[in-house]
Amino acid sequence: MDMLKNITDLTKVLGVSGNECAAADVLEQLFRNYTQDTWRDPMGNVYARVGSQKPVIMLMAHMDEIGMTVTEIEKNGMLRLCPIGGVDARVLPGSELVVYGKETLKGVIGCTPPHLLSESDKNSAYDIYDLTCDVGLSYERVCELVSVGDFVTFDNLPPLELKNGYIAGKTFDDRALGAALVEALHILSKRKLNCTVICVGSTQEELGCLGAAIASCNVKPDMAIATDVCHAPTPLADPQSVVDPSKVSVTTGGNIHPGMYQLITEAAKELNIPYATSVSMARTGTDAWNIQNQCGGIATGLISLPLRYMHTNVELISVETLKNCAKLLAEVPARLGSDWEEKICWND
Amino acid sequence: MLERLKVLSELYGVSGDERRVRKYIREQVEPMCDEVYTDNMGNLYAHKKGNGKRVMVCAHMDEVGMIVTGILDNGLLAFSAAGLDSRAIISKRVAVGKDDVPGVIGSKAIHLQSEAERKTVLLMKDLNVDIGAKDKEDALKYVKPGDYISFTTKFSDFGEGLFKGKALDDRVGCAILIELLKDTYECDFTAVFTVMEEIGLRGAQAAVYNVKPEVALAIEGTLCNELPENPRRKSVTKLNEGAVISFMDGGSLVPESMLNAIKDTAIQHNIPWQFRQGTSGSNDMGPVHIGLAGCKTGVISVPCRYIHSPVSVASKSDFENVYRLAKAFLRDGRFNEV
Amino acid sequence: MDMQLMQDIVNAYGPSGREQTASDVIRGYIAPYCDELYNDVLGNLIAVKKGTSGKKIMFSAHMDQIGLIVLDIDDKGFLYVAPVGGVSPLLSVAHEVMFQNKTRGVVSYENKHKKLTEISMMEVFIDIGAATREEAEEKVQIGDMAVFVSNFVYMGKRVAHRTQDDRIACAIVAEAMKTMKSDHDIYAVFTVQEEVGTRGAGPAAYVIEPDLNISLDVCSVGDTPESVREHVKLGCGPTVKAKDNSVIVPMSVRTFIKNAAKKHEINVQDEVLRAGGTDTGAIQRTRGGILSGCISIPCRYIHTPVETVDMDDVDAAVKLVLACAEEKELP
Repeated sequence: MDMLKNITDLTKVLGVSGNECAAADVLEQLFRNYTQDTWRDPMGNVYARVGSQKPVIMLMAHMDEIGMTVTEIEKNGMLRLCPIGGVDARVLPGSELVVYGKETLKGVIGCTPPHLLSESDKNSAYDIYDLTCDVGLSYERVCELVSVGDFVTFDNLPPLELKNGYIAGKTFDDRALGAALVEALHILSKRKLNCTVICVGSTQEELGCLGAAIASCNVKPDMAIATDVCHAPTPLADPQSVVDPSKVSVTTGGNIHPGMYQLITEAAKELNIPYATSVSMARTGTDAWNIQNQCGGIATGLISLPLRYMHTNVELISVETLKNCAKLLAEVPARLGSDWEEKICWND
Repeated sequence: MLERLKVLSELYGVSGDERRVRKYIREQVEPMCDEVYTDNMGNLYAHKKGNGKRVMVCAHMDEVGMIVTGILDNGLLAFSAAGLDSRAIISKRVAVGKDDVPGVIGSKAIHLQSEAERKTVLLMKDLNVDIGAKDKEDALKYVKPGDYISFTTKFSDFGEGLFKGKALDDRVGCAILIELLKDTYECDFTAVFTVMEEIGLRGAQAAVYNVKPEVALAIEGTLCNELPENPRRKSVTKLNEGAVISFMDGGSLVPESMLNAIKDTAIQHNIPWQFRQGTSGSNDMGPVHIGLAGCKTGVISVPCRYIHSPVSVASKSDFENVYRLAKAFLRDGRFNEV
Repeated sequence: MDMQLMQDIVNAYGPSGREQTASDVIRGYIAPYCDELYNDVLGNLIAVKKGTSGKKIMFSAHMDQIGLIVLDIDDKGFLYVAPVGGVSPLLSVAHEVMFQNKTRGVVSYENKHKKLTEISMMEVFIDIGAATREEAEEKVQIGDMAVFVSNFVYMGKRVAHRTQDDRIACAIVAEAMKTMKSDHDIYAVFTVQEEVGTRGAGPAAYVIEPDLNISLDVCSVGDTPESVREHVKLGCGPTVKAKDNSVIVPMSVRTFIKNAAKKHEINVQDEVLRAGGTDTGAIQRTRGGILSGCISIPCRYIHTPVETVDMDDVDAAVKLVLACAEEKELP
């Protein structure tokens, strides 16, 4: 299995929150290399199952990406956009986009040349509301090809390989972890399991983890591990809220069952995987938040991959750390035995 | 009941780490119930089987507090908090982690502050817990990231007919709910001691699924902002004026049938009561009333001054009256009217 | 559109959580056209018309309206209030209100310290003509709710009223029920408590478990002078929602509604609503996920006393609801 190829395949397809079909197709195909037991639900979540015994453990990565949607077509054929998910409008000027209309169109978000800007203009950040997307076509042609409500993403270039096993590209949040799920499934398909593992590619995480809640209701797992990206150190970031990109982040706090934290860290120690503990008092801002409270409560853990420049077109990760995420994701269910209930019991 | 409240108030149980409170309550309620169990979020259920409606009464075990997010090179602890005003936590004593390591939250001395600094609000990220550690390595011997931090305020009598302590929101509810379990009611009764109310009404979302109530009630410690300049609608409730009955808050609207049932119970039993004359704030009934197919919910509260700070104040008579009202509502089978 | 039906439904009293009167009015109009009709535990009004396919379509419109709730009555008989739903203090002042028992009042504010443009709800009060607390308490209790009184303004085919959001949609669903033909079970659901956070719709959908939900609500437009940019215009047909703050409508549902419109030659507009949410999202995230879409009625001046809709859009929306119900294949 080639992690980089899987990431490339997963990140080049459209999957803006609410329209993850294309990403789901790719992920399901990759899952099917290791199990034929896959299915979908009305929210667009993709499931893949291995094993058949109790307990059921759900591993999840979200397939959706931030993006934009067309709100208006201007008389000169340019498009107005609004964000879907947390798009930083400041990274948009000068970006190349893809507009998914009746045909797939190239787009450019331009900006006013500096010659024409006043001092105060230069010092105020762009608002997505004021930016336009140019597709280079006439109003009539645009109206034929594009409707209000069509989806728009960043240009889907393949990942860029950097020094020391780092790669940069779009939508590593969270498709990189999708690739990790595939790899975990690969590992698990070769091991004898005392449990059932259901890998889930979830939808609409960027809009409040909707897919995760629905998937949890459908799977009703005994335990779950959500995966996502977290922040690696960047300039101006608070040192308490970032993790070294060479380490896997394991979260503890209100959103996490202490037993799950224990199971994950024990597995990491067993495999000699470098990890760091992240602390979150309440909302983790990941699928874990919407898994934990479903179906009368689900024992939930969270594994994260440190990533720089989140929600940009140059998200940067370490492939080695991602592989460690995959190993860890596989190891936790693989180690489960008949004493699993004790592991998530409240030892007051 | 007051003795038990003292114990409950002094237990450490920050949202996400309610185990001490859960352990104590479990011991107390086990002899009174048919079954006592927990779920994967940590809610404690005390079930008294019976025929008739499924009735759920909730009180939350958790209290506002902090969590260690990291340890600085100089041995001080960085933390984050939920439900607290950073202005109210400076110069307080705390206990950290499962070994109750003592610590303090200090700040720059007034002598060293500039005029401008004195007027600036210190944010959580500017404050640290000091446990007296020499450096990071030394601190790690006693505490670790993820440890919870609680205030250590002692519970005691206060002024005339009042008491003070920490976590009255909602240990008053827990104490009342334990007392309610001593009686029997003509329904299928589940008392739920919920977790993580203060970080987003989390436990109740699981509880509604597990109990599937037809009628639900929350027993709360609620706002009582009796500053001298505040008219009633800004103080919301008043101390010593009786059990507080809610008609609307940020999480739910109490249906008319429920509101009338609670009010009539109070009137019939001559129990002093007052309206909760404000609509801000929310409680476990928010997710409960719209969980699954929906259910009828109501809220009865004890007015507590200074909630969400290290020390709050409440009245013995209000506390007693909330218990009497909840008990009368259940004993009289008022849940059948809603 | 039956104008009497529209007037009665739009005028009925029904703030969030106290929708019984509005529910009763709607009930009166649709009772002859359904097989079952009941209020659920939260007060949602549910009308069922049986089909034969074994599939269920739910059409939902919220029947609650924004209002004011009495927090306190002062010694001179003035009522202090909190908002129920998104009520603007500025647009409350100088308006007439009505309580459930028909008590009338007018809204004003404490003008000693603040200008009208600076006030919050804390300074707003209702005057019901009482001279003392006791006199006020004879008519109104703490916890009672008032709604804003409004008259219809007929401007040709355009009509303004304070409560077009969302009673016009209730009227559309009620009108459509009269002639509804479908192979599927039709659930017309008039939901409660949308304005306080889309609370009623989820539990209704949880029990019904529809194969498809189509919500009806109003959406804002961008065709007034120098308005906030919006694509939707009044009079150009009902919209097929792509997105609002509560939901991204699945492509399959959008296509389904658009195809139904095309078959019946109904003009529709695409809608991306920048601000505001609807029941659509609350229903989508119920149980294992429910396919959920939304048809909106373009409406000028939403959440003001003069919410204005175009009757052509309203009539087209009735046709679109009927067209969707007639479709044999669901998405």
